[in-house]
Amino acid sequence: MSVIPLPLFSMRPLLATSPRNVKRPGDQIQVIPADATEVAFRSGSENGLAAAFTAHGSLIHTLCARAHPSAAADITQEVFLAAWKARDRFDPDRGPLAAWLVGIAKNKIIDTYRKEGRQVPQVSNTDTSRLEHPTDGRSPVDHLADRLLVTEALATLPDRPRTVVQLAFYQDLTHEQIAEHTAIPLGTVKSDIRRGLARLRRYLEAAS
Amino acid sequence: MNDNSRDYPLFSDDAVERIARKVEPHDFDRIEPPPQVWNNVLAELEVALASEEATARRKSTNRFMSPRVLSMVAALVVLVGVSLALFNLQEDSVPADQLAFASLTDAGLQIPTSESAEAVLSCEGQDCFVEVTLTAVPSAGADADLELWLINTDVSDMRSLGIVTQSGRFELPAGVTFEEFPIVDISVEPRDGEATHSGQSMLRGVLAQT
Repeated sequence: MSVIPLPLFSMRPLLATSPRNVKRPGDQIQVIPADATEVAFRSGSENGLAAAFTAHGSLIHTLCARAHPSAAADITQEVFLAAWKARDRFDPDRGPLAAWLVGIAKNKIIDTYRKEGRQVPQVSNTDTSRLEHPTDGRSPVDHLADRLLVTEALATLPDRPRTVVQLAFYQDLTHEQIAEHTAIPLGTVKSDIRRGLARLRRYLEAAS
Repeated sequence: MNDNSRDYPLFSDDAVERIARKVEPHDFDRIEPPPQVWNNVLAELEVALASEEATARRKSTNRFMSPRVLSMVAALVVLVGVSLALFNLQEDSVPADQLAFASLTDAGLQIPTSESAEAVLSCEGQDCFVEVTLTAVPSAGADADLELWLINTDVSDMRSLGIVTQSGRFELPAGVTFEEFPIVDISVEPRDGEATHSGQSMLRGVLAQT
């Protein structure tokens, strides 16, 4: 006979489940801050799914609407329900929630075309906002998703690296020209571009 | 954010840059989902929750109690533990298969009742069950049931043992031990399709080894 040990007063808050690999302060390992939406999503509550929908509903619907305009609303709906059912498989260490949802959406879009007995459209000559012609064997849905993920990833960069990356890729400025143009030291320009590419890669890979 | 979580990249720097350069201005535009999309997701979620109920009852839940209630549970754990210690000093003979005992009251809980209950955990071979004996079955109110739960010591996890309509035996779910899940809880559960604990408890006690 023993009285049950009582850890009750030193409880962690029930809703603040932390990502699996987050070490406690003092472990001397980089702490990955828990994204509030991702934490809420993984809790499995209605509110958690609502948070994910609020944060990423427009990204997913944009992908669906451009890839399959007539079924976009239905596919967006399926994506979030499927995501909720598979929430235990979402691992924040492997990439952001937005990219994980895009991965689900790509499959749902292709499934929808398959169920309809249709090929995923390969070319859209008249409307370049839709799908482009694939050149590397990947689905045109993949290419569209990649471009949307780039825009999503850019939006998560701090102002300076985002500006630097945009000048490099969209204004076609050399690193030296960017440094001159912005008065940012050349070394910083180079490291901003490296960081930017790493962020973009993280989004692209998590949806592949 | 950790941007270098893979050992080797799927996309080279060149590939990432090539993709990034293909982005067109309208790729930054977003199309908002129509309002019915979220409404439909919510409706389907309700259905999914209801159909998952059987398995969800075995799963943990996060929606539960406030720190105030938790501290009451803690106090109750101490009280019941101490009273059981005293009780045990007086009781010499227990059935060979009886493992643990709890006395359930409404002390400190959300729903008052004049009833009380005892819970006995026993095993016959491999089959373990919790036998709940109520002084009388309290009313759950309209459109609600009483549900029996086992809760772990830090109140972070729980298992449903089933709906309580009378005194009787409830099978112990596989993998559950009273050492890990010592808190016996009877809650009032509205018939709202929500499988998780309502947070409205009526009777509670803590299993202690006999």
